[in-house]
Parts: sequence; C-alpha cells; structure tokens
Amino acid sequence: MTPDPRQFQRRRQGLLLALALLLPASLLLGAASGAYYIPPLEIPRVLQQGLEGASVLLNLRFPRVLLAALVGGTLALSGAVLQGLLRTPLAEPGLVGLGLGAAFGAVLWLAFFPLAAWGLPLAAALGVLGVLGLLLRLVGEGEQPGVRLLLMGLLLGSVLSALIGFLQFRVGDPQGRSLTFWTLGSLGGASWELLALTAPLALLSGVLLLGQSRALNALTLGEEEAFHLGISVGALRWRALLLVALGVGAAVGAAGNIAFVGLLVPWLLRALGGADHRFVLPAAWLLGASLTVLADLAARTLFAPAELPVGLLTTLVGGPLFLYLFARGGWRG
Amino acid sequence: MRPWLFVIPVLLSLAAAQPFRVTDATGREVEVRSTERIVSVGGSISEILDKFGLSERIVGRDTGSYIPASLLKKPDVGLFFRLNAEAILAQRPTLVLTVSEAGPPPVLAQLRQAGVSVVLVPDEPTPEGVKKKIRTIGAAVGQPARAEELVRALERDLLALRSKTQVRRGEPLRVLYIYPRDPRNTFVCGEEASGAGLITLAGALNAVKSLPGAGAVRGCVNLTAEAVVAARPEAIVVPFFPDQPFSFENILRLPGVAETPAGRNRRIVAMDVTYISGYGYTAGRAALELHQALYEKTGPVRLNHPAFNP
Amino acid sequence: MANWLLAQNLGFRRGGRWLLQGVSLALEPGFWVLLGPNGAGKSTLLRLLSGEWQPSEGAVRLWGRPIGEYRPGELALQRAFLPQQRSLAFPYTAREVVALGRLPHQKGRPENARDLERIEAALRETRALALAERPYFSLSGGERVRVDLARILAQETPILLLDEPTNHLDPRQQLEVLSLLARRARQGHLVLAALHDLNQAALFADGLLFLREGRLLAQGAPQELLQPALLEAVYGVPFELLEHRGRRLVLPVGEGTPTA
Repeated sequence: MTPDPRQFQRRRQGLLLALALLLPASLLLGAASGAYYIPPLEIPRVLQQGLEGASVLLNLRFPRVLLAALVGGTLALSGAVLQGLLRTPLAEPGLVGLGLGAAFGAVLWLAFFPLAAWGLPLAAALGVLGVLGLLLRLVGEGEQPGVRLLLMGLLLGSVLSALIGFLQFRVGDPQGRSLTFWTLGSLGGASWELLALTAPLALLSGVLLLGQSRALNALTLGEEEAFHLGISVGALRWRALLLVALGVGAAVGAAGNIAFVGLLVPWLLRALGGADHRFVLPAAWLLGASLTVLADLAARTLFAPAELPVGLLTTLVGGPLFLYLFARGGWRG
Repeated sequence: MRPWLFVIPVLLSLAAAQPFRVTDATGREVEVRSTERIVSVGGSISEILDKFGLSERIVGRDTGSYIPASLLKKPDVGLFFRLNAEAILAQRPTLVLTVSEAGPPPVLAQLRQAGVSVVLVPDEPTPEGVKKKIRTIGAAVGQPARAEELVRALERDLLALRSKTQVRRGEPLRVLYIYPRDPRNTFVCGEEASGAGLITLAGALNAVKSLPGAGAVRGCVNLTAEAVVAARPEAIVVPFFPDQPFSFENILRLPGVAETPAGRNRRIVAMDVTYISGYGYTAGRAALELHQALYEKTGPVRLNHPAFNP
Repeated sequence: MANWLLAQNLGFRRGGRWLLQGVSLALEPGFWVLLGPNGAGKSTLLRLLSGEWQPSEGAVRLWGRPIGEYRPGELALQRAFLPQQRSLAFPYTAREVVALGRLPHQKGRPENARDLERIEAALRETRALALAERPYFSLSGGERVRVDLARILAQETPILLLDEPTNHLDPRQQLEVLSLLARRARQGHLVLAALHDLNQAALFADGLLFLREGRLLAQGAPQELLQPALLEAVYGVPFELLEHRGRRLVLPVGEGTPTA
C-alpha cells in the first residue's frame, strides 16, 4: 500500500537532472540557429577561424541566448518564491503588476537620468518593491487572498501602464522605449554590456532566493505555524521580497515583461514533482531559463527577418493555458 | 498716374474672393470659399504654403509642421493621424489642408459638417506625387501659377539628380533605412515606406529589398539583429526630429548595427524627417543631397532641411 | 526543579478590550486541559504561552527565562503548537507535511537518517503511516488531524500546545488522540490542550484549567474541579453530576433540556 518515499525523491532527482540537461541543450539549440544562417556544424570552425559570421555569433547570438536564460530563470524563480511567500499559486510577477512596477521605475529613472543606464536595474527593483508594498497593503487579510491579489495586481498594472504612457507623453522617453517594449518584452537588445548589467543582480537574487526554500516550505502552513517551526517570518518576508524585487527589476529592466513564465513554470513543476520548494525553486530556474531560450528562439526565427516580442509569444501560449487552469480550479493546487 | 491701374487690386481681390474648386486626393470636389484662415496638417503642405507666401494665413498646424520656424509659435492641433476636431475648429479655420493619411476619418467628417473646406492633399512618395501635391495645394489656394513655378524648380532638381545617378558606375550602395523609435529594436522600412523611398530615388539599393532566405521586407518591421547583419548594409539612413536630441552613437548601438559594414565604418546619414519623408517641393533636392552624402562622403553625415537650420 | 512554563499576571489587550487578564499559572510535565466557553481566551492563552503573541502585561517564562528573549529557532526546539485552524497553500504529501516538523532540528542541512526515523515514528504513533504518500489535500478532516499531530510530534519538543486537537474527529479518533497525548505526558512531556468535552478532559487530564471572560477561574485536579457550582460559574448553565463506576460525569441541563 505505502509506496516507497524514496521513489518520489528519486523522481525529483531525475527531474532535476533532466532539467539540468535541458538547459545546455536549449542553449546549444538557441546558439545554433538564427536569422543569419550559419550551418550548425560549421559553427566551431567559423569561430575558430574568425570567418564571416563569427561576429554575429559572438556579439549577437551568444549574449542573447545567455540573457534569455538569465531572464527566464530569474522570472520563473521569482514567480515560485512569490507564490510561496504569498501562499497562492496565482502570484506572477508579470500578472500582478510587478513587471509594470519595474517598467515604471525604469521609465522614471530614464526620464531623469537618461544616460545612466547602470541605475536601471536598481530603479526597476525599487519600482517592483513599491508595487509589492502597495499590493500587500491592499490585499491585506481576508477571503481568497490569491484572487484578491490577482485582481488588485491587474488593476494596479493597468494604472501603472497608464502612468508609464503619461510619463512618456509628458517628459518623453529619451531612450524612446515604447510602452509595448515594457508590456511585451523582447530580448532583441541583448549585448554583453546588458548581460553584464543584469547578471550580477539577477544571479545574486537567484542564489540567495534558493536558500529560502526551507523557510518557504514552512510558510506553506501559514505565517503562525512557520513561526512555531522556528522561522522569523517578518525577516523572511522582507528578505525574500527584496530579493524578488532585485531579480524581477533586473530581468524586466533588461528585457521588459515576459509574462506567464513565472506562473506556468512553477505550476508545471508542482504538478510533476510536488510542491517542496527545495525541488521547485532550482527546477523553476532551470525550466524557466530553458523555456525562455526556446521561446526567444521562436520569437527571432518564426517570422524572420522580422522579430516578434518574446513576451507576446509567452502570453499567447501562457494566457490561454492559465485561463484553462483557472477555470478548471487547477490553481488550487 | 493712369486711373485704370486702380482697377487691378480690385480685380485681384475679387479673384481671391472667388470660391476655388479643387479635386482632392479622394476624388472629391471641394469648394474653397476663403483662404483667410488655414489649418495645415502635414509638414510638406506647410512648407509649400510658405513658398506660396501664405504662412501668415496659417492659424493652426500639426505637430510635424515646423517649417518655416515661425509656425512653431502657432497653435499645434496634434499629430496628423490623431487630430482633434475641436482643437481645429477653435482656430476658426476656413480651409483645412491635410495629407491624405490624416485622420481619424470621423474627425474630417466633423470638420466638413462644421462648414470648413477640407482638402485631402495627395501624398504619394514619388516625384509625380510631389507634383500632384504642389498643384492640388495651388488649386486650393488659388495660386496655380505659383504652383507651376515650384513644379519647374522641382524638375530642375530632379534633372540635376538624374545627371548624377545616371553617370555613376558600379553596384548601387546597399542602404538600410532605420526609423529610430525603441533602442532595443532596429525598426527598418522597406522600399514602399515614404522615407525609405528616397533611398531608391537617390540611386541606392534598399538593403532589405531582398534578404538571403527571407525575401523582401514589406512596410516597416522590427528586424531581428541577425537579419540586420545579413542585410549587409554599407550605409544607414535615419530620419531625425529637429526638436528631439539625436546622436549617431544611439544608432550604432541598435541591435545588429555595430556588426554591419555601415556600423563598422560609421556610415550613417541622418536627415531631417520632413526633408527625407515629407515629399514636399524639396524632394528633388533632398534626393540629390542624399545621393551626394551616400556616394561622395564618408563617416556620419547630418542633412538639415534647407529652410530649417536649428 | 525549574519551572517549565510560567505565566505571571498575564494580560492581553486587543482593540481596547482585554482578551485575557491577570492569569498566573505554573505548568510542569503532565497533561493539562484548558476549558471554558467559546471566547473565554483559551486560544489567546495558548498563543501567549507559545511565544507567538507578546503579552500586554505580565510575562511568560520558559525555563525561567522570559519567552520574548528566545529566538524563534530556539523556541521551536522547546515547544510545538497545533493551531485550531490549519491550512496548506500547496499540494504537499502527508509525509512532507510531517517532515516540516523536523525543520528546527535541521538548520539548513538536508534530512538525515534520524530525521527520517522520527518522521516515520511520528506517523506510526498517530496511525497515519498508511497516509504518508497521499496528497494532504486528498485527506479527510480526521486524517488531516492525525497528520498534523504527527508533524507536532516529529518536532520532538518537551512542550506540546494544542488548540482543540479533537475537533472534527469521531469518538474513536478523539479517544485515540487523547490517549496519545496522555501517553506523551506520562513520558515526561508537558502537554497543554484546549478542549470542549468536559468528561473526556476529566478522564484523561492530570489537571484542568478553567477560563471565563479572560480570567483563570480555577486550576486543579479533575475530580476536585468537576463541581456543578464551578461549572455553572464558568459556562453559565446548570450542570448535573452523575456517578458511574466511581467516576464523576457532568451533564449540562439548561432550560431546553428535555426531561425524562
């Protein structure tokens, strides 16, 4: 009757291993294909001998693929942590206004310091933090916190996008980023500089967030019980929200909103391997990174030479799937 | 003093007071009863009105009308595709001249209902289109003779251009037309787009006319960085907006640009937006200047509108 | 011997109202049952004793040291707490829920053999071993209580605080839970549980505590405290005392009680 508990453990380890292999596979696939055609098997030779196309690979394709992985992993991990923290599978950075909070912070920063791109991720993180604080205050205690969070987040998001539009109307956006860039993100701007600007914050947030998995496990029982299990809930909340804000800020600052990665990846992983955050968090990073690399590959090759915003693709795929899950009640877990 | 000379101004003013009839871009016959107060929508229309000596009569203009510079002091009724009927009517115009893509259409209908003569001026991005534009405006304001003068000047410019383009030997230069709007995207236009059209007129080849494995780019698209490189542009042409900061560095930083021959050699021609894509009376001269900038100069080149030097 | 858990003139105020006031008590190993009508302050007292809430006046001392001086991680090694309302945000298996009880012992290291052994033992003790691999959400109310109780036991603390652990249980399950708690008490644990059933409490407990309107009315051995007069003072309804096989049983007899 009782299945071996180690069997479940082995399944998780198997999943993690598969995901750890999927990421390099996606990176290779992403690095091997693009609008500038180079036969995949020729790539090592092109690079070695510095043939025509080497600069496309080195300066365009490679940083883009890596940025996609970094942004996707960060968003998926942030989504999973946010869900654990707010105790609802409905929390998604892009959906509850955090992405637009980041965009707002970034637009505001650029309006005042158009040339100081280095401050962008931090300004975006501050925007996220502001939205988070406001949301937590608005949602408060009460029935169905998940649904309330989603609803208020969506409303806040629409207000924020209007604010961004207003800001761009009034001050103009010296960098000319359109509202569309923020709402439907794109990795088209990838470069080593952007990667260097994004990676430290995103990776720092990621590594530190991975360390919160046990505390998040305890939090799944509720804040009181997490306290009874020895967790300093207030400190955990602050730490985790701050780290999520840093991660989301860095990711959105670099690529705009790539929605639904942070929602669907953790959901999928919980369905496959259970809800233990020690599994979900690292797996979310790996799967989010792989899926975003693949989604971006589609975004830049599907309609080549034109490019689709990758956020449009993820929303096209993720939105209906989420609606289906929500309607089915699958979001309850 | 011959007394009959007094009759001339009287006759002239009578002629000016006469209603003019003009067929506009939609084929509609419009009666223009008075040209006292004109709202001009479209930078190329405004500059032609100025050439007719009518800039004093312009009581309102669209955001893109900044030539002559004195227009900047006149009320701005908005972007040409997002007009507001009330803002226009508030200027109590007798005549509204707009480019044919102006809108939204219901606003134009509202203006007509309010009794304003609305003339949609044809706006095809070709030399013939420019002539039609000049003549339509001339007819609408009762200055057909001035219009013919302008057309002749245009033809002289086009002739000078042709003498250059037909003498030149060798492959045409591959030129990428970038419309700068978002620093994360290289927004590129194919031949049919108005600004990019001037590239062909100037005797160069639009670099996205045919891309290896992908065919032609129609209209304007966000070109993926690798396709920018695959287009192998030898020069880049961008419009700039005189009221906004412009830097060549920002163009060089657009995805893919740095990896192209044009990017490596900093071969960028930035051109006043009305000059390059307005297709006004200066179109021939614009194409000639672009030709010279592309074939006779190196490095980054900035081309201002001859009638607008900020 | 040092006092295990001590409350001195404990008071707790919220929204301008005293939920608890002037409560002093000293608890040592044994099975203590907290009784009183709804709203008497039972849950409040438990939360104060657990260190979760800070008293508005007075103090709680654990091993002689003010409980506020303990860090959450230290407290979690001393006392486990089973709240009345329990929820789970994500689909964990029963075993995973029980494993959470081991968190205070792990301090960041992965589960070791001892953890696994304690989890197994706790599941066995609450007869929940067969449920171990099932999703918590698929369990019935009674099954969930057994799993949650196993989590508290897996925490391996000398002190157990439980808020109405027998809610939603059928008589047999209630009996099982109470005997388990009594057994723990005999093994040297301090067990304090809020309950509603007076007779069950009298049957299993070493001592009773009666709360009414935030005040501690009486504390003592069950057979001494099961007096109709005291019970009427606590619950505001008359009680009849019955004797059966040398055991005292009480029955509330209000106006609506049908007569035989």
